[in-house]
Amino acid sequence: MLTRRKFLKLCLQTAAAASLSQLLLPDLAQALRLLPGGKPAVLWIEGTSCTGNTISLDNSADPALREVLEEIIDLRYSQLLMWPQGAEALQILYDTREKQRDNFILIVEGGIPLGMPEAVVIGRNDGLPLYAAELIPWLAEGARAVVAVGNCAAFGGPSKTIPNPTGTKGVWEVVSKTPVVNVPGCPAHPDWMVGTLVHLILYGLPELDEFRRPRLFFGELVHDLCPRRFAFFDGKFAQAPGGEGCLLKVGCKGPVTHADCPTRKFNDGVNWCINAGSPCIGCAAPDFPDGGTAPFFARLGDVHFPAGIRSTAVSVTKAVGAATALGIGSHLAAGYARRRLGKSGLPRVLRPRKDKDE
Amino acid sequence: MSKITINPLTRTHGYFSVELEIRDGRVSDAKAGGLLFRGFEQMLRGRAPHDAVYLTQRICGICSSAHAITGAQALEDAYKIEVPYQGLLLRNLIYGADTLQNHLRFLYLLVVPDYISAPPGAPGGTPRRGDYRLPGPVQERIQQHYLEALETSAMAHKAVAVFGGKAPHLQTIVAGGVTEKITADKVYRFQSLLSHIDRFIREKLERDMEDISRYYEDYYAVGQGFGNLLSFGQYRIGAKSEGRVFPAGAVRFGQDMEILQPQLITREIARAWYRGREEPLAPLEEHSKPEPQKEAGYSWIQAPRYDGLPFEGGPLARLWLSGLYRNGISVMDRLVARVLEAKEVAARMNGWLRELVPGSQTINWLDPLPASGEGTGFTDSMRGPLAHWLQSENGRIAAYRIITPSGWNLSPRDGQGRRGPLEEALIDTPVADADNPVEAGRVIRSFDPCISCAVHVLQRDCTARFWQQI
Repeated sequence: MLTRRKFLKLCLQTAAAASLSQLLLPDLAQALRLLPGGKPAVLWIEGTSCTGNTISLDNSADPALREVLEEIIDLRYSQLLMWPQGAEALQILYDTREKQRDNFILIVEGGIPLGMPEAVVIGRNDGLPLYAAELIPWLAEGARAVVAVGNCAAFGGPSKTIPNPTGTKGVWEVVSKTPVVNVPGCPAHPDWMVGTLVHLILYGLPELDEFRRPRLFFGELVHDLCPRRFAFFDGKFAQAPGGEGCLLKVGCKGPVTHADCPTRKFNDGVNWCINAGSPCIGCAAPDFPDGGTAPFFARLGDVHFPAGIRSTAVSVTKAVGAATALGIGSHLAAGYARRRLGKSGLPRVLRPRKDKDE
Repeated sequence: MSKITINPLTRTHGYFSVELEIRDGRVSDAKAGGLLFRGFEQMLRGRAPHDAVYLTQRICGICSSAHAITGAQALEDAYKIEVPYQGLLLRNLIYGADTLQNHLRFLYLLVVPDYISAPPGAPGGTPRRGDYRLPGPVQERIQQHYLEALETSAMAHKAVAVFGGKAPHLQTIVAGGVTEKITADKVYRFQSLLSHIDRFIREKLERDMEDISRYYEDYYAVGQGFGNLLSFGQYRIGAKSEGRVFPAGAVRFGQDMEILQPQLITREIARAWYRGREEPLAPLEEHSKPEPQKEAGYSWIQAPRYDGLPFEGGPLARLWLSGLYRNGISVMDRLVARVLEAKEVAARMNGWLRELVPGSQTINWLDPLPASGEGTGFTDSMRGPLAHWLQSENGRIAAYRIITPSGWNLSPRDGQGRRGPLEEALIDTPVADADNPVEAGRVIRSFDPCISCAVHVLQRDCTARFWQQI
């Protein structure tokens, strides 16, 4: 039997290690056979979304999407992938909620447009529009758990970008009775999605942080895992994107973003943002892109906001929690004390510039 | 006469609804509505111009590289930044790989289910009724290829990430070039991935589509529409990026090719859920605000027009304009053109790979940017013409306008009551069973609809207030 401990270890293995699917799937298949009901039914519903997380799931490497569909889940509803259409498709939604009550898993991609329900219409039932803002909470109420994939579903993400034209919110701000797990990222890494699902299926809720993200994948800062951290300590800073050295001065948000991208890497481990010479834009951080991650090429602390946004300090403190922000502050300040950063290089993490309209 | 609505119209990017009027077993009228609104152009106002390249990618999870390249071109045009030739090659390679990813996913995941029954594990299972004509062994072979295409398309995105950092929503394309460096190991990794994909296209995709087109030959006579074709040109080539692999231009039905004149592009909101001036407007001229309760509206998509007329875009338009394929305009011609384009792009990519020189400069970075500028980016995305218009003042974006391919293809009616290209293509489609209009589904999906790209609104009066505050 696949123990939780062994599973967690498998999840943490990087691309260099043996294929996760080879190690995981035989055990997983056996474990699923022992579960009452076998493969769990999964409904995938989109709110204010770009479908990028569905595409990212399609990119899953170990296990491949084919294995996910054949061995792990019974994907019954997905706007992009499902074969039936129209009323027949909707019937699948209703049947699953009714017959699999408290057993199925609801995956939400995209935010909930509470301020403008007409912005997302999922289908039409008896001539009446089914608004995502109403349908998603209704489905969630019957689900065993809700997984919010991508930054829009987790925190509102790009769909909530100021001035938030559709009044979008994250799923956990709307769903209260059913447990919600946030798997942010823009898009979420396929391993984060599949790993979270498998954990839910076999062992229940994974250990979550205060933003309801699985610690397994979002427990550490990009900056702490970054291979360019040595350049940071040596005071070697790139002056332009694509340059050698730490990308802090060209806007890297790795010091305020929790995710394991540096060790996991993207697209079957072939590359990732900083390795490709571009700064981390904090796409897994709460309130991305407005929580202090944009402008993307502005150095942390030099971040300023469009007019009308009052609380600049939403920014870093809210995004990472005060304690962590303090931690980063002292970490960067220590670099300054050792004269490695130079005065101009000191990111004013704890002193975000005030907007003129404040 | 009967009226039917297909909603949700699945196997499209984003939510979409089609209303059909059926008379004597044929479609006599059609309305196509985009049911997703986010308002990206509003979000872009007041931001750092460089951010547009990353933020506009979030419009669409399947054609993100198209928005990255078009956004970067708009900035480069506004601030007169020249992209180094090797950076241009990298962009073409990233874009080419993303196009192969898109075409494979489109043809197998979205289109094939309209023609064969589902393999085990297929999401949602086989629809209760279908019109499946292929002999058993051929059908089984294509089912097998459906599953293989899942892996091959992931491989194409892996190739995007080799020079793009990650996919979708890649990181390396910025105004001025590409941040990733050219190294020998990356060139060979890319080449290896490309050769796998290329083999899949030549040995499997081509054969599968040949079989489908043979057994569904009647679809060469379904879904013609207006026959007006438009392309903004794709893949810049030449030392000064003056050339295009697929040229920009327009063809009015049955006439000769015309040179593209950007000033002829307009947009209208007569039947879209926006309030404002209803006459044809220039791209950046706009006072419209979202109004979901608007009585006359039935779509979030506005109606783009070229010289006042609806035009369709996509691989068929590109191949027609470049003279590579001029068999006809129909459901099957659109699918065949996509396969041929995939082959052509893969061949071009091999050429670009050979031109790469490890260690060359790939980026001209400019930051801070000049305080003000105005520029446009024109390219063709996988599914048709895409353009970004940018205006900046005081170092921030003052106005941003995006007109997407799905805007062109899925456009609603305009102020004169003229249908959009998809709506027109649906007219006369035979529908055997009004409860299960598979034929209409085939016409709709031949356009590769992407509602995520449905676009948005900008309030200039608010912009003025915004500047006073600063």
